[in-house]
Amino acid sequence: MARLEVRPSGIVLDVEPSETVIEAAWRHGYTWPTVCMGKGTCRACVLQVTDGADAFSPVGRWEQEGLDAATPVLPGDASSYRLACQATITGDVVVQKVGVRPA
Amino acid sequence: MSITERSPDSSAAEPGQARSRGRTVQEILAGDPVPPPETLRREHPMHVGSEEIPVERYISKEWLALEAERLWSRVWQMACREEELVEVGDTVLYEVAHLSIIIVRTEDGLRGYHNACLHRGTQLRVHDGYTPEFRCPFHGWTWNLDGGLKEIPCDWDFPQVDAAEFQLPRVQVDTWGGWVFVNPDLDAPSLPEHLGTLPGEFPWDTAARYKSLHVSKVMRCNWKTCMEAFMESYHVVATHPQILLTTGDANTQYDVYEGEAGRPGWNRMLTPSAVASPHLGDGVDETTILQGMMSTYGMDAEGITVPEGSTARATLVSMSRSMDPAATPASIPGELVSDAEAIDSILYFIFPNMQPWAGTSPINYRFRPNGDDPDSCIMDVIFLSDFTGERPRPAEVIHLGPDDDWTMAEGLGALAMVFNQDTNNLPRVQRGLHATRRSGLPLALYQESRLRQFQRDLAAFIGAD
Repeated sequence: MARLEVRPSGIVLDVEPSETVIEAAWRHGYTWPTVCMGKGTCRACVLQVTDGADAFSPVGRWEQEGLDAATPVLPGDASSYRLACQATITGDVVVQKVGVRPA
Repeated sequence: MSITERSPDSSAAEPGQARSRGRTVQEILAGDPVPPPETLRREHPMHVGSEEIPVERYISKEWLALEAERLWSRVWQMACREEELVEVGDTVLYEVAHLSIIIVRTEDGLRGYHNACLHRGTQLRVHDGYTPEFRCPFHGWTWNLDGGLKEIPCDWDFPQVDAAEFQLPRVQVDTWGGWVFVNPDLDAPSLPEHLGTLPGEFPWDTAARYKSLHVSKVMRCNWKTCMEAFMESYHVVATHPQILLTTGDANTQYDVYEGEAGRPGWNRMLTPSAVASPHLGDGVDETTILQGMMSTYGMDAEGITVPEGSTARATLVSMSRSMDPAATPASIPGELVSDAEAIDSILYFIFPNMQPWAGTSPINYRFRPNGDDPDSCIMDVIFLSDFTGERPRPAEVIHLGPDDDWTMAEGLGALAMVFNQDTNNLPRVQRGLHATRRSGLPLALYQESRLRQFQRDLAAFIGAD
């Protein structure tokens, strides 16, 4: 069981190895910004990893296409971003994502 | 939303009347502590038909040639700024399609001439700047600034040339808001007639600003493909997902004003900031919106909250005012800039190719075809800035090629990345327009009504159905 902390809201979730970050948020009753509801096409769910980058699954080809489109306008290091609907975690992480809130 | 199960947004009875469920712009503006200028309190939607826009207009050489002959040769178009033509002899070169025009400051005011020697056709000028007279670099034929023929070398060899018939052919020149407009058609209606009701609905004194930045970039797409990307906020959800928390995209207000006597009209859109996109559903709280705004700009949003009873909008406006206390709307000098003018995206469109932002934004756009290539165009980004004291010199043009990046233009700042996001898609759009099996584009009835009006007015100039 991995621990996900979301800032700035301070929400903490446990994440199963088999579920993506956004699926874990949904299971716990939270809303995570998205328009495509998890297909990886809208890129609205993009998060920034603050801590625990090594605990994330490798970036697949499809997620990379989304990140390539999304990150050029985002502040900071492009490699610090992941799509919440594509990434899974196997260890404790801290991420930055504005807009995560109780559904 | 699947297309077979349409959202309740589209339930209105009359075509073009359906709206997003988000709060309207007028509802948002009504809650602002510092209300906007009168004109922004008006709403003027118009149903401009539901026909498809022919794909041919974007890709065919024949259509581009018709535009050169029937649009660019006959329409008022923004050529430059008055402050680029201060001293007698200052010139600006304006080119579009096959046209090449010199605008010059003379003793009698601004004049415009077709940029071609009347002997063998050489362009008299190839760049902006001062000249005391127009002397052709080929054989030396020379004209005064007032267009009168001054000298023909070896004039004994030209007994057939009557000086009165060899004045430089003129174009119409007039100004509005510090902008210089030209029209090659000497019989065309005046510039005030062309602008119609627009000046009365544009209370920002752009003549009091100066040109602080000018980037001119070649784009791999038709000029209309490029221009129309800046005429709707419908694209925000797919193109700019990073601003959904802070942008009223689907609830943007689109106003369309008809021209008089069959002349082209003008239009505008108001996209509110610091409100959440209707695409994100209800219940995005004000603190989340503010944090979203700050994270967009790479600021630390930790511990930031919107005070009880206030809004993200009010908080952002006060931050914007404290960052730029000098910013005042030219409409009400000395008074506090309104909330809408401080943070919203308010874009006007002047037919055929000019888009000034309103409020405190410095941004202006212009779009031109690039020669006779329907798949290439030139996009100009021109900043107008306030100044105190002596008027600063206008900025030199920064030229960018089709493969250059907007970030290569110093002075655009964070906007460069947004322009990249806006324009990266465009070669892909142009390529797809050649590949599509459909003959027309099914534009949105409301959110793309500004494009529809432009296309209808363009078709009227061309004489197309």
